[in-house]
Order: sequence, then C-alpha cells, then structure tokens
Amino acid sequence: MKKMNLLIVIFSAVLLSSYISFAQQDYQTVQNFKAKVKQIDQAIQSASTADQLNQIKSQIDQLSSDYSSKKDLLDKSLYPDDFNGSITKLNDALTLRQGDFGQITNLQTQVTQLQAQIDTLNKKNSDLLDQLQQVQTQDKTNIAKLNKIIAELRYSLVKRDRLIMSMIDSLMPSNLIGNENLTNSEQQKIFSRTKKLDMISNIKKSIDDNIKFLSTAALTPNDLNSIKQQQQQFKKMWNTVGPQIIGIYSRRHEDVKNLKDIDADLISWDNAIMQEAWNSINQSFAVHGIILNQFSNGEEFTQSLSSFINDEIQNASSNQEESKASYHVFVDTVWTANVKPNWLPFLEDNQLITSSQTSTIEAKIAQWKSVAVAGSFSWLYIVVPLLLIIIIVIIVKMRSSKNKQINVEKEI
Amino acid sequence: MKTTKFLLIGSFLFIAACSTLILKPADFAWPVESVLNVDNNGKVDIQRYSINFDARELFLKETGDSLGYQNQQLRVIRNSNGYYFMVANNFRNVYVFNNDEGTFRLEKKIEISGKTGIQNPAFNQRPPFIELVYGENGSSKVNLTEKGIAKEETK
Repeated sequence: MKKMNLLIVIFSAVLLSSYISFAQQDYQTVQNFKAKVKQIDQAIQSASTADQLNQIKSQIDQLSSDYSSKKDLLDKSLYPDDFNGSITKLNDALTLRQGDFGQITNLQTQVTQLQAQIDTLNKKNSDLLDQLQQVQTQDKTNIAKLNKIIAELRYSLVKRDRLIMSMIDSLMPSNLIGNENLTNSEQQKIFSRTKKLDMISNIKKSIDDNIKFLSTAALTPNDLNSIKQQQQQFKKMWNTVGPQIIGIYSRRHEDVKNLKDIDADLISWDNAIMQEAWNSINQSFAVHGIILNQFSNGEEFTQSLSSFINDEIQNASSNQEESKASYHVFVDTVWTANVKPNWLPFLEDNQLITSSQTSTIEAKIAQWKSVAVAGSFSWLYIVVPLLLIIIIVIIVKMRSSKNKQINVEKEI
Repeated sequence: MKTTKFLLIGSFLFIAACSTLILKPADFAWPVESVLNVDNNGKVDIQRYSINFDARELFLKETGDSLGYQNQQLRVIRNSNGYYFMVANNFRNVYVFNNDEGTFRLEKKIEISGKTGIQNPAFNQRPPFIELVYGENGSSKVNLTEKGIAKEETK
C-alpha cells in the first residue's frame, strides 16, 4: 500500500512537472526566438574566422529545429517577418559573411605580398637617395649618371606609393570606409591588420621620401605635374580612410604623433612641389649665367625678374653690347624657349602666378627690348642707306663711264 | 384584408430597410499578447495594431491609487470575437473591453485572485479561449472568454 502511495506521488509529480513546462507564455516564446535570432545575427557580424562561421551554421540549424514546433505561432507573431523568413535571413547573412572571409583571405595574401615588395622598395629608395646625394656632391659632371639615378628613384617612388595605396585598399574594404558605426570587433580588426603591416609608418615614410626627392633633384614641369597628381591621390586616400584610422588609433593611444604628422607632411609635400617649381625655374636662368634673386611665389618671381631687367636697362646705356647679349640669353634662350612654354602653364594651373604678374614681366621684357635691341640697330638706319647711296653712285658712275667710252668709239 | 396586406408589405419594406450588412465569419484574434509599458502620462501604444489609449482609469479602478499606473506593464490580447483582455502584475481581475466610438467600454471584470493578486500574468491565444497563465513558472492557468472564466484547469 505504501508502495502504491509512493507511486501515486511520483506519478503526480511527473504529471505536474510536465504540466508546468507546458504552461509557457507564447509572448515569451516569441521574445526568446527573436532574442536568439538577434544573438546569432550579431555573432555572424562579429565572427573573425571561417571556423566561427561554421559553428554558427550549426546554431542556426539548432534554432530552426528547436522552434519548428512553434512555427504557426511565430508565423503569426513575427510581423512583418515569419519563421522561415527569419531562418533564411540568418542563412543569407551567413553566406554573405562567408564570402567576405573568402575575400579577406585573398586580400591578406595580397597584402603580405605587397608588404614584401614595399619593404624591398623602401630599401632600394633609401639607397638611391644616398647615391643621388653622393653624385650631386662629388660627381657633378656626370650628368648622365645623375639623370639615370633620378629617373630610377622617381619610378621606384611611384611604384612604392602605388603599392601602399593598394595595401590600404586591401586593409580597408569599401564597406568599412566611412562607416561611422563600426563594431568594436571591426575596429580591432582594422587596428591589428594595419598595425601588423606598419601601415602608418609606411605612409609617413612614403611622404617623407617624396619630399626628400623633391629637395635633391631638379625636375621638369611634367615631373612636377606627375608628382602633384601622386600627392593629390595620396591626400584623397588619406582624407577617405584617415579619420577612421585616427579614431581607431587614438582610442588605443597608438602612433598618435605619426598620425598627426601625416596631415602636416601632406601639406609639406604640396609646398615642396611648389617650391621645387620655383627652384627649377631659377635653375633654368642660372645655368645660362643669369643670377636672379630667390623667389618662392608669383609676386617675388615678378619682382626678381623686373629687378634684373631694370638693372640691365640701366646698364644698356653704358655697355649696350653686353646688355644686348644678356637680352638674347634671357629672352630667347630662357624665357621664350623654356620658361614661357614649359613653366608658365604649370604656374598658372596651380595658381602660383596671376595673369597680371605675367603681363608685368612681358611689359618689362618689351621695355628692355626697346632699349637693348632697338638701340643697337639704330646705326643700321644710317649705314644701310649710306651703303645703298654708295652702291647707286658706283653703278651710275660705271654706267656713265661706259656710255662715254661708247660715244668716243662712235666718234672714232 | 386590405389592412393586413398593407401591414405585411409595410413590415417587409421596413425590415428590408433596417437590415445591417454583416460579413462573417470574422476573426479578430491577435496571435500573441502585447506587453506594453505605461508611459509617464498613463498612455500605452500598441504600435503593431496602431492602437493607443489612456490606461490611468484602469489602474485607478484596480489599485485605488491615482498613480498606480507608474512603472507598470499592461498586457493586452484580443480574442477571436474582438474583445480586449487586459491585465497587469498584481491585478486581482482581468478586464474585458469592447471598443465603442473612440473608447474602450468595460464588458466584464473577471476576478482571478481576490486576495494576493495575479503574479506574473501572461495571455495566450487558445481559440476559442484566452488562456491566462500566472503564478511562479506559469504554474496556474485559466481559460477566459468575454463572459468570464470558461474552465479552471488547476492551481
């Protein structure tokens, strides 16, 4: 009898417990399902390896299996979605993320290769810069060697800069650029990848090398235009990814000084290009023995040229031949043949000189011409007519003597 | 005879004129209850069904406290006949409302727990009933209709 009672108690307890578990809230079921969907979705977004995604796939399958008996309730309650729609969305998100990981793996391989090339080019560029300085100081006469090193260094710098920009593209996928709501996991990923590949130092080194190159080589307007384009591309790239990288690094107190320097270095690079233009123009005059006052903007350039021409105009009265020779070198050899066709368009395109400043220089040159060239030709106005008169007189005399001779012969 | 005919025809016309168009069957049941936070002004908003109303009178009637609505959650569900069932934690009654020209009109007050109040209440849609689950871990439940308790299962 006691055994019977015990059995009844146990049976009742089991019955009650099964009843209690049955008495669940539909609302809670729906909320639990929603919470699990959200949790899995977040796990998909924050997964950092393909293995993690594989584990999440089994979680989705488990969720689908656990709640399939509640499908009717969920279909009605998950407005505007439904049960199958929710599971499909998770699977779609998973597939998309798996695609990202495939892409990331490819990009990581690419980045590693790029990094190796950048390291090689960094070393090569340093060697070339050293060689360039050496040749400039010790072997100035070997122009061919100098030009060869400059060309090689220029090519190498451009190649390295392109590689750095490719690496940044690979490290910062387009879906992350400009995204202000990056998760901590995404920020950490960007930080660890860029840090591992020393991206900030590479960007800074690239800009510094370019500035150094500008200060060691005399360049043509085409070279400077190309370097200017390169600087603009770098600036655009930094304006796009820089704020995000600065934010991520600042929060970790890493490389703050280098990051601040990059902005300033980009401005210095721009200024160095412009200064190099002025230096090269000055050099164009200097190689022909025309020494001008230093200039670094349109106004100073105009003043420097005007001042030189004024001096020459003053000297013209005392030594006209010398002034005339100087005029021909200045105007014909340097200004008309080189500076005006090659440099003026560059200066105007970069708004380094105004049309009124150009007009001022042209007016000065015209004034100089009137003194140096017109003055030197004035004796021709006397000599040429005189020569003509002499020639005419000779011809007339010769003819008259000939006529006389004929008359004498006739008379005879 | 003429009078009878006149009355018959007149009655037919009157009934025909007064008959209402009825669409049936119609099911107003919500699949799941809505759990709503009462705001500082006593308002609740059921976004999914675009319903909002002032719940202060309900809490006043149940608790006798004019500020009884503060920091409370109201649980609402609609049965297939279109009646709204409302309850909150510690209520002793479930309130059944019908809508009537921009108002909720009380149809029935169903007493569930006269002494202690209903702990952890929740509604489930179990046509033709509304199931009220309450107590610790949902240990108790009753089936409700707009008329009252349909069948008390256990406690």
